[in-house]
Amino acid sequence: MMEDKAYAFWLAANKGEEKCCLATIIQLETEGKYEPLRLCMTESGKIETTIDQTDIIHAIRPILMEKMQAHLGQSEMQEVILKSGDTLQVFVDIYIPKSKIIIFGAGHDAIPVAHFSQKLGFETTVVDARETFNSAENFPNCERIIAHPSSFTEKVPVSPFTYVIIMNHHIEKDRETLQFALQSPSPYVGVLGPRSRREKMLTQLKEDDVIFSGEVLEKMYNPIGLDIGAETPEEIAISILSEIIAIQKGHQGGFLHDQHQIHRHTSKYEEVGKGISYVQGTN
Amino acid sequence: MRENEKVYDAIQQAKNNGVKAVVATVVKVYGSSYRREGAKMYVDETEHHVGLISGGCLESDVREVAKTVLASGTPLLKLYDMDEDLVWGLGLGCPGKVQVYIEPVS
Repeated sequence: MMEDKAYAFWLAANKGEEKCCLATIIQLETEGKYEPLRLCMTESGKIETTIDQTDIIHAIRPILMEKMQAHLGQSEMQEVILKSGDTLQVFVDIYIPKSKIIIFGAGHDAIPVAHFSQKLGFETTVVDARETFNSAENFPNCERIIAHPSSFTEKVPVSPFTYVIIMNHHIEKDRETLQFALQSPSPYVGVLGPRSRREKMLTQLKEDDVIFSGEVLEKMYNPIGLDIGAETPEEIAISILSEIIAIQKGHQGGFLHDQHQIHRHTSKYEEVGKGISYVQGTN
Repeated sequence: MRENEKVYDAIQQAKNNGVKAVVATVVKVYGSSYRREGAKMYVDETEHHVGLISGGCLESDVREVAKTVLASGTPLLKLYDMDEDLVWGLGLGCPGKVQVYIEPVS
């Protein structure tokens, strides 16, 4: 096999911090030796390809771009129609950088949150200035950042794939953390505590001339978690993390009972196979 | 899809060591399925394999098909049609119809 630079680029991109797509043209009959035809592109537009024909490249690029711009990315088969009228079957694979969870507040109730978060595969960070609480013993395998809210901007990195949980049990700290988190690119800022506490914090921020648009406030979740009647720290952790998974996957939460589909798809699924009792479709 | 990390690591290693390898990718799912599009399984010429593309029903067949692809150097597209009543009856958690693309990658 010749060196497949598009695939090498894809393998490298799968360790990166940026979304990336790989289009592979499905080839079932090859004249002579098989050489893979691929186009790999990152969200910022870096491209590697083994395709020579520019008309094919031009047809595939916008599909990849659109896929990376969507909130949810699901790998899928695409039919690409060329200017000549020919069609190609192209499998579009998407890489989305690893999701991370940052927990602000290292209280005892943060321990199961960090524990389950890691089990779920999230890179987990705990932020708290109190070293006795924010310890390796309490949070094994987590990254720990010992910091006060005043130094969050320099010490706590937050990406568009970082989910934030605020649980300081301290209204001043929570308010400062909330300001930091809402100003970050995080898609989710969950805040522990009742609704009245949220209003109090936002009012105080307003008095300091810190005002957030409705769009930014939409990423603030409070009370935090799915409605499962959670009471113990472990149950609350499951409720919070379930909410984060639902948001990550673009789902609403709630019961699957009586629902006709389990996964939300980003494309239409037409056919029902032998013995399958229902069709999955778009929401 | 996090599980694919191990598959990619295996591919990288095969490339580094000059080992011939194929990857099987779920490219289309009809109906319900344990794994979704993009799920991958690595198989190489030493029959070492990494990753799952179903709940355990298709892997042994894919390992066989992989031998053909390794020998020919040409990709294959295979449709698996699992009868839901049958597979649930057998306790296998992977009903549905799944299309798998098996291609050389190293």
